Amino acid sequence: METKLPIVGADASGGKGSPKGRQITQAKMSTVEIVSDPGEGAQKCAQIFGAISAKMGNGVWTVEIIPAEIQPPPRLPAGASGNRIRIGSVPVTNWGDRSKVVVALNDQVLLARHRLDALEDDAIVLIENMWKDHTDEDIRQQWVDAMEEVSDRNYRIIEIPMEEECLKIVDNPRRGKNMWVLGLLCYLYDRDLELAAAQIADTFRKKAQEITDRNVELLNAGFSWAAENLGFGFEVRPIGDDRPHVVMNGNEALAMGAVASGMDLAAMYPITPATSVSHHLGEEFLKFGGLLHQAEDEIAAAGVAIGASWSGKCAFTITSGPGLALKTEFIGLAIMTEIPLVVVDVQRGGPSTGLPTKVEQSDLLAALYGQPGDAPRVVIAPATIEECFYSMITARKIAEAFRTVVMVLSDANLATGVSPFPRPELDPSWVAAPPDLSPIPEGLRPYDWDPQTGLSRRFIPGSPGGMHTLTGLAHDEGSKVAYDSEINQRASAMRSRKLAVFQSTLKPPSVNGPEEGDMLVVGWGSTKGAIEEAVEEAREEGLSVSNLHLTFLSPLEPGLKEIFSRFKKVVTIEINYSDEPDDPYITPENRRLGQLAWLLRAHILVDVDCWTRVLGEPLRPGAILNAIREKMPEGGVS
Amino acid sequence: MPSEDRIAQALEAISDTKDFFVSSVAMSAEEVRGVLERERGVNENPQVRLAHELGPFAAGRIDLERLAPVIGVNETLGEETRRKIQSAFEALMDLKKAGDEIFTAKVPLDGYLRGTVFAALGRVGVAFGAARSVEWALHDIAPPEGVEDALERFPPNLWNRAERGCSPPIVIEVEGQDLRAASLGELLEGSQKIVLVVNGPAAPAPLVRLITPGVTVIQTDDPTQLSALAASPGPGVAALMPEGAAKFTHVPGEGKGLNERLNVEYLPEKEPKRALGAISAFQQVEELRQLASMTASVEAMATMEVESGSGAPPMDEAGQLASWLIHQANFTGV
Repeated sequence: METKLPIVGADASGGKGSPKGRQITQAKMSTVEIVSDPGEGAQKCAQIFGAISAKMGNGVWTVEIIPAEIQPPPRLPAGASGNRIRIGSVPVTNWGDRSKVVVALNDQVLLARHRLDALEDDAIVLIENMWKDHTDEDIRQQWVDAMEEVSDRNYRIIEIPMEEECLKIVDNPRRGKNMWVLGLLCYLYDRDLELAAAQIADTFRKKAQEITDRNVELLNAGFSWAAENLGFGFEVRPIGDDRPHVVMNGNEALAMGAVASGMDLAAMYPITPATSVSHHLGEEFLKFGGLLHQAEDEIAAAGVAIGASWSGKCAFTITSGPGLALKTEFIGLAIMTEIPLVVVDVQRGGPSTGLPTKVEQSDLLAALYGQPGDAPRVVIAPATIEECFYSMITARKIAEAFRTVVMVLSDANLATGVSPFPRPELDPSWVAAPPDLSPIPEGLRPYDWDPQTGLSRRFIPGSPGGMHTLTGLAHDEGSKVAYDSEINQRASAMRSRKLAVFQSTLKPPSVNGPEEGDMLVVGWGSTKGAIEEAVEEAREEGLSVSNLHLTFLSPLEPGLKEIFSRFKKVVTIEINYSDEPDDPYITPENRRLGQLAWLLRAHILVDVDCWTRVLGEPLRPGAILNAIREKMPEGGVS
Repeated sequence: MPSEDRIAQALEAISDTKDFFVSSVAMSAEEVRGVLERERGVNENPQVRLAHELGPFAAGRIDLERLAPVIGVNETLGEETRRKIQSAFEALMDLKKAGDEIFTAKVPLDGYLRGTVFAALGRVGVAFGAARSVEWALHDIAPPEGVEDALERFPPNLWNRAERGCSPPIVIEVEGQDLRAASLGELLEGSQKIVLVVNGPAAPAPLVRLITPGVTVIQTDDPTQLSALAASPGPGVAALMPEGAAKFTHVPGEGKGLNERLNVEYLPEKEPKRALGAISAFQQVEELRQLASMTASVEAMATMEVESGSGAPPMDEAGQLASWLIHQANFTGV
């Protein structure tokens, strides 16, 4: 079957042997994707490309494209695996809307991206051409069908003989094509080849030298082929920030933050997408005197962390939604016994096992209220990869100062996204002083709450005069089991009071944009970059809109009612589920809202609207912009 | 092979344990530095100290003027306390900077092996002494009885259980005639690793007396075999022997039965006839026969296993209880 396809062979528009006649497109931002079947190394290729772009001074944000299955069958759209990399001559805070360039290692993974509307209408598609003439007739037909399907867009499709070229160097191109593609991309984006080679060497540092050599050879071959055959390229200038930077993903930043804060113990059980926090800790924690413990299950991990903290160590546990559910009882114990604990929840799609590899912000209410009984705790949400690092230091301090549980809500977007940020200057003060083991003054009890603040001295086992029984049962000031009707009321009040006291020390959040107007967009967590980009674009269109991003979700930051009162409409933007107002059976009375919207309405008594999506991917600025346009109150255009 | 090379090989074999100890020292030094820095900060301004402790994430979000009085940022260290903490910090920094030499010692000719090991561990154990000194200074607690100057020497008999759990490894160079290994038994606790680099003529099986179910014991002339010592989580001792000595490994992690734990690679046939320094021929023969007897037991058990298809004879309930009680009683060193 023949179809009219927008396919060209190796591009000749710049003339063979360019770069002389090479067409260079200058771009403030450019987004490129590399997609393949799992196991072909597209992610490694993209990670290296992102890292060298960051090292060359570009703003970078990468997002992993991960199939829901660990090892799906090959050549399936659902199995597309790879990475989107957005690089800029300004800081990049989100993954953008659609990609300008895509390198696809087969036609089916290209289809996956096409169907998700992930590519610009005039995207440049660089596709492996071996499938077109494959010996298997079904595969040849799939190629034809795929090209037919994508022909509704104006893609510029360039067939690349990746397999053929890689076979000149390796016997199995499946293990090497990614580095050849890296070379090709280095040519297109004018990346420093020496830097790329160094990054490859670092990536494969634990393997034999010949592995590195072979990969560098593939890199150079890809670059040379592109120089011979592709007559175009992109110029994305560096930001011009001379400060030394580090490049890492959010999970690595959480791990490094834990190390920098002097945490003593991390207890966890593997769970996507939180596990890699422990991978990074596994490499570094021990060197700094920390201990990483993989427990037999999520519950045990929480128990180990609480035990360590009770004995005077600073401990945290790492999990994701389903694990958080399992830890519920132990978190209640930490709150009841007032043992400091930091809980990191890297949110994924849910409920149940849900979408393990995909992003959502659906754990907010579970993090706030997911305990039987009254169990107040602090909840904070870093919005950037840099904040993932620093949030751990603050979380530790608050947990210890207030003898409480602090939950750090990250998500799969931050967890796997890679972005550069200024190298932290380590401060010895981040490492807390050794626990106070001085003798307990005569008569002082483990829960002698200050009636004003609810705070009390932390008793560490071994402190002379501090012997007491620890219990999760209702207890009095002396930690003795007590069912006295007054005691539970008093103890509950004291545990709750600590949050009020902490809230009294928070500053009102700042508004990004005019202090008053038609619409205020409110977000939390990893959506910050996309929301700000959309809001700024909306303002450029003349819409009267500002945004505010919350970091402390329990207790809520103060002054929100007053801020909200200055806007005609308040809308939360979130990656969790809410009913559409126009859907069947949905009324204002039964409509289920985004989780932050619920929270704000309950606390602030303001009619907060929401726009939320659970598409298994980060929010796109363009989609948020559309939502802003749709939800603008009457007369919103100024 | 020159003894320097064998010492280097021994140090390399225990490098993971050594690095872990050094990193713990470095971490402790940073914590103590934090104590000193904080005090400097609080003297200037409690809010400055708090700002540092909370880190940049809190900047602009938390009102330090309000928070400082709530969580009580007002204590400062007295001059004497500060001096003690500063001394402890310097001791930790000295240890951190010291090279491999703090992990090695040599027994003088005709010297006392246990004494040398004890002194060497006391020297490097200053890390624990310094950490404890900070606690004592911060909380105005007098050092316990028996501690003279914790920053000069802090020997193993003063270490607590947690400290024994991360005890520093040590490499000891010793002449064969001074290798009275039984004296080391009481030091093999927690995760203590001792490597003996033995020079000159030596008894054929001096380490056999240290074989107990929880202790790794290696006697070899092959440095690569020391990796089993480093890999073992519990206490252990290894001797790099001159040629001609027995070669065996006893690794508790290999299994419950002696036949699983003990692997005798070489057993000299000739029994010693002459005393070696203060080590009598009788003692040397006794040790060699003990190893031979163990080897015979191991072979017999292996035969039983082949015949019955099972491993070590199963322990009945009374045996299990007795084993547990012995373990709880912690007779090590008695």
